[in-house]
Amino acid sequence: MSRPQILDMKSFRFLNFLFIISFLSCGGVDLIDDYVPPSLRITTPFTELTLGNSYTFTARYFDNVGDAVENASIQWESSHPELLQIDAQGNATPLKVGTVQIVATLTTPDGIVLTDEINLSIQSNVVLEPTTPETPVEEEMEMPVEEEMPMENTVTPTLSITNAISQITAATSYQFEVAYTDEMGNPATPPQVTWTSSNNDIIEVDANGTIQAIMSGTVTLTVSIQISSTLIQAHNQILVNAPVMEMITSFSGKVVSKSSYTLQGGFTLAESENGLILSLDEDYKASTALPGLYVYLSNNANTTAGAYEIGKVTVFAGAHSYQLPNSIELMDYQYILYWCKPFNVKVGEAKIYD
Amino acid sequence: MKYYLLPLFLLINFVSHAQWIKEKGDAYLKLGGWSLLANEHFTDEGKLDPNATRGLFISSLYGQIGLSKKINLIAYVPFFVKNYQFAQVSKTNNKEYEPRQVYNGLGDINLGIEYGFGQLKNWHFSGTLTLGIPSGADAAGIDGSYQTGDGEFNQLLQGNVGKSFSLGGQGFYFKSYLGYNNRTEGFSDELHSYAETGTQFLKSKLLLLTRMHWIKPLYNGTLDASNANGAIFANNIESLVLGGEIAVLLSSKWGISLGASTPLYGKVIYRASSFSGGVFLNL
Repeated sequence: MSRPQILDMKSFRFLNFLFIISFLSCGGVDLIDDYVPPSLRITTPFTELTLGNSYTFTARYFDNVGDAVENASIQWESSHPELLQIDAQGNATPLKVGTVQIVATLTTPDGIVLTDEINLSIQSNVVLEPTTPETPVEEEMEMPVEEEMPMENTVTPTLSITNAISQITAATSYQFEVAYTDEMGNPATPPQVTWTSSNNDIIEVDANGTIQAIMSGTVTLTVSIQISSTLIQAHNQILVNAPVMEMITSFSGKVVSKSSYTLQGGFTLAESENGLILSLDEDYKASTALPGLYVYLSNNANTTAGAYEIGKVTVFAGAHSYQLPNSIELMDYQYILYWCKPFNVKVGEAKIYD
Repeated sequence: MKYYLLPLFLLINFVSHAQWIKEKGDAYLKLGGWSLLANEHFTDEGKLDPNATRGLFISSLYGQIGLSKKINLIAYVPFFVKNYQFAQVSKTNNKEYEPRQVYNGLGDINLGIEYGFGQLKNWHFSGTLTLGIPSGADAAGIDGSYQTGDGEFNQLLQGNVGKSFSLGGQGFYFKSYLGYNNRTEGFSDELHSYAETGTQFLKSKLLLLTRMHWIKPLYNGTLDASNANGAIFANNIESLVLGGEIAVLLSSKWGISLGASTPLYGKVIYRASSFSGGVFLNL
């Protein structure tokens, strides 16, 4: 049977239709529901400040998809300025021992006011000595013999350190004060005093009695005055302790599945000498059915866009860890995400902190 | 995990209404297209999870030629396979996170031979050996996941049975097979089961059929994410797929067909209906 020409044309058109479909069929977009509430985050998680030190606080603004916005205008406020002062750049100076809250505030371009706060305790950088008065040390100097010395109702002048300390934290300063009584036994402004440190590598002291603790060690601080031929001194032995930076250094939590795939286990994100380490606990378990399971750090639990890709998952059960680069800090990301990268499927997550 | 249905499965769309064993010199040819678009899938536990919208379009040529009264040669050549993914765009700020991805290539070719054992009463019996040639790309696209093949040489041995019958004066046919798919490269072997029935109208110019195909892996493979680099895409697939097709003869030799199928249940496959169309020629 001969083929009617019209059938060939139909077939040809049908094939054309198929090929047109094939070339058009790769269009389209998936809209990712990636909205997250904008947030402001204080990224210097101090828990304790020490008098005599200064601190710089930082905060980061994350927009409605979790992207960090650089150079955001952040306001800083101290709940008790008499205890701690903080300037517009986040530079804080503790003034007194106590508890204080620092509040960071930012107004978004949409007029939304964001805040984050952190509660701190301010500790003294020194341990005061008991209030027993210093025993002045009087050193007699060899005096030229004079024939008639007036001996009427005079006493030996005294010099004492009124706020002596037994310990101080390195990298902090402290202002000493002295008390002086003259020959008549009356409190008086002392003549020129001289301050000296037994080891200037450990503690330096200036002419006003302000010391700067530099490094760990023990030092004897001496203040002295010269009254006629008499040298009067007071001493204070001080132990300098290494500074302790009291801040949060790790977070722990649970990785949970957000899909139908198996994923579970405890985690710890902790600082180390070489940067952060993300450790998964012995109870960790992940599905081996996924073709491309990756782990990320992100500020948006709904997408890996803008996230830091730690790497492809190669361990599916048991304890293991990831060494993160030094450029990543503890407060940089809020979530750990497990994601099937090829098919853009969220498998699970862990919230690092609230 | 392989979220697209196997070329072997696709083969059944083309075998249909290529009834029984072809006589010597007879042939059935079909040029067709098959399309799937899916934004969710069955997980390895048979549960449903979302995924980025992925599509697969296959243009193929199917042929069955009678070499003798008992022997047919079968070839399925997916000569153009398009594996693609939609662009990923932020709903919040319209930022494009990932552009659309496309990979075009040749798929896995199937070559088979069917031997007719004969007829017993109204039942026709035959056996088919189909070889899956790994001619497609088992790692393609930016991340290797845009495969057009599974990268392994499989052998599907099946026993076929067919029967014509009448219901209320209307003629029907029924065909079915059971098969064992021996897979290599660490993939699990599979059991295949298939059933199809159809009937003709308008003086045999219109054919309506429905089919069901079940694949059950034996889970004896070794591939998983811990020891394979993307190759697990085609492993441990399980599916129960229901489909239907309409074929219209436009002359004594030429015709067109349109079909659709949907998975009723599955593991490691997309959950989406697929659509097919083609032009066939009976010689």
